[in-house]
Amino acid sequence: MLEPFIPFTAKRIRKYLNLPAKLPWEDAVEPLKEGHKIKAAKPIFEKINLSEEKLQEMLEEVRSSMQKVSFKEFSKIDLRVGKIINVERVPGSKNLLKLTIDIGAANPKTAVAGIAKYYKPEELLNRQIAVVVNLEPRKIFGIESEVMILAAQHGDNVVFIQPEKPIAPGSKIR
Amino acid sequence: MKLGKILVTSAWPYIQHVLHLGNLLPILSADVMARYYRLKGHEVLFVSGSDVHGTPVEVEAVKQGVSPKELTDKNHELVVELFKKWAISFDNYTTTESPVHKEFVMDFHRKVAENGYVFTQESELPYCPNCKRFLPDRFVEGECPYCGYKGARGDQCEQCGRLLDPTKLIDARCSICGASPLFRRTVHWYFDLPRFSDQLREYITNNKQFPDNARNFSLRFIKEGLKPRPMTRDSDWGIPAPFEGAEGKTLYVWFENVLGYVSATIEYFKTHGDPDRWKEYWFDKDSKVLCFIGKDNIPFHTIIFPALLLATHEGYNLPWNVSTNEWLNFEGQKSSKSRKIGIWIDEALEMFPADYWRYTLMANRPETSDTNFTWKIFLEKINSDLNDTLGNFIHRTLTFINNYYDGKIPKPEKLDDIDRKMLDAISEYFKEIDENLSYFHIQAATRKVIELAREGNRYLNEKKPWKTIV
Ligand SMILES: [Zn+2]
Ligand SMILES: [Zn+2]
Repeated sequence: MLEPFIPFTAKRIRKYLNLPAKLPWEDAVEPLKEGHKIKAAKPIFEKINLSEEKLQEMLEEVRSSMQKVSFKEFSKIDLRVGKIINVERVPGSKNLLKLTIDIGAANPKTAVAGIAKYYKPEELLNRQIAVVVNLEPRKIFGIESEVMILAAQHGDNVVFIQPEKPIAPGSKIR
Repeated sequence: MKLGKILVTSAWPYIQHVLHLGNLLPILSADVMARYYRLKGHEVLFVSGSDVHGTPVEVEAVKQGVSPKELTDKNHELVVELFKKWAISFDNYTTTESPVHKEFVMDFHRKVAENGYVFTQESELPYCPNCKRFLPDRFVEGECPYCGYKGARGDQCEQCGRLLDPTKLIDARCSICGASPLFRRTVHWYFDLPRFSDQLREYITNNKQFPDNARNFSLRFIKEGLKPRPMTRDSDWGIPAPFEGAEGKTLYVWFENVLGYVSATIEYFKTHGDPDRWKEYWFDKDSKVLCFIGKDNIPFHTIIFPALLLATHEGYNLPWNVSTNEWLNFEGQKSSKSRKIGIWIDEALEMFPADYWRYTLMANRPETSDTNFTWKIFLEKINSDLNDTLGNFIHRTLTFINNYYDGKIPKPEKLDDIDRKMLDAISEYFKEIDENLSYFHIQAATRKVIELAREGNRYLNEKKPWKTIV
């Protein structure tokens, strides 16, 4: 009787009941014969322990992960290797560091990054990192951030992305 | 008893985008009924296909900078895969570009014209001298004469909602290239619909299956007076109009996609080595044709499609029912791709299994008025109905038999009143679910299945079989 509505579930239940794939509609009310052997059953459904807001967030996450970016769009992003040549704390912020980054151009660029919780300034100095160099500049805490450094995040764990071997600052990442 | 054949169809979706859950309703409803009839022992054929022609596809293709064919080939492949994941049990899901469809449609309209139901008429339509093409109304943009909105389209102003026509726009321009269109005289072929008014009124009045929404809408439509309908468009993308002197014109989509129900039947039997058997579905008087649609498609299925079938004088079966769903809104709003409101059928499956959605959609199928999808309802349906009620009942019963009876169905003991009450409830619910489905009350049937499981849980709690065993 479930087959028209939820066919995947109906199939699983038939398997647990040890019944053939094709059963006429009327057999839905036929009792199983005495001695008919059934199989071990697992729970049929899984409870969703999420709030309405979380479900909406989940939908939006799924949506953005499914958005396809054309190669043309992707190639607009200019990714380079940069070298951190100066690090300062941003006064008044626990989170932000002001990085000065050599990207192979005449003048180094400024990036404001929210990684003070994960790295001490001295840990970052002279490290090579991946940088997006053609983002529109943004003012963060009154400082103009011209480039953006890339980092990976998993829960509370944040690590920046660095080249596998040192390479000249400004090398294009493709 | 020999049961009649049943052809189950669902309206052919436009596939300029992937479908959202609301678009899926007619297809899912058709699938539920096709599965039900198969279980009842009917010979069932379930057909539909992608509507790859028409203005929305052309607009989207221009937007993406690809040809309509490239766009729809890609999307057709995508939706075919998705329908498999939703377990839509199509016997044939084809497209309006299929050679069988094109040939059938052209032959069909030649016959309609031979029978004298087609005439030509001249009118003035927008033409872009730069793109060298006539422009469908919605390809013309300009300023709305009523509210001054600059981006109004030739068919309707999005700002004030008024229906327009391209001649009314101020500073009209081609939405493809921006040039100002000229108005050129062009000839179009018209279907003489008014001549079928009496036959259609009788058909709709005598049909006992049509839901009220479809019947009332259609009778009102006829009462207001049917008008001849243009059958052709000035466009390259579509099926060539098979009339003398109509070179370079294609058929308006609604004059070909509904015929897809027939051509998809033909195509199915052709590929299964039985090229004449399609006629059993379309001409045998004990066969039934069922259409599942959304309410915007009513006049095409209760008026134009039957009128076209009548215009052949060949005795086609007319739709036995046109099961029409109302709209499913999302958190109180209409689904909209551009505004990111709604849920699309690819995203849904990335979140939860298809059955969770199938159940929620059918238990809320909008039958007599619009219904609303909310996450609150979704959680209630999955957690309370599916998990706590149905899943729990089945799982505890099976586990009980496995734990206490070594997985073998035990010998029934002497029945007491509680047992007898439960057995009565089973046959009562079964009868009601069967009846609901035979009247296309899918929502009620879906809900009754859960109620029966609720009865089952109540029964187990009352009997406490685990107590008497231990
Ligand atoms: Zn307006
Ligand atoms: Zn143009």
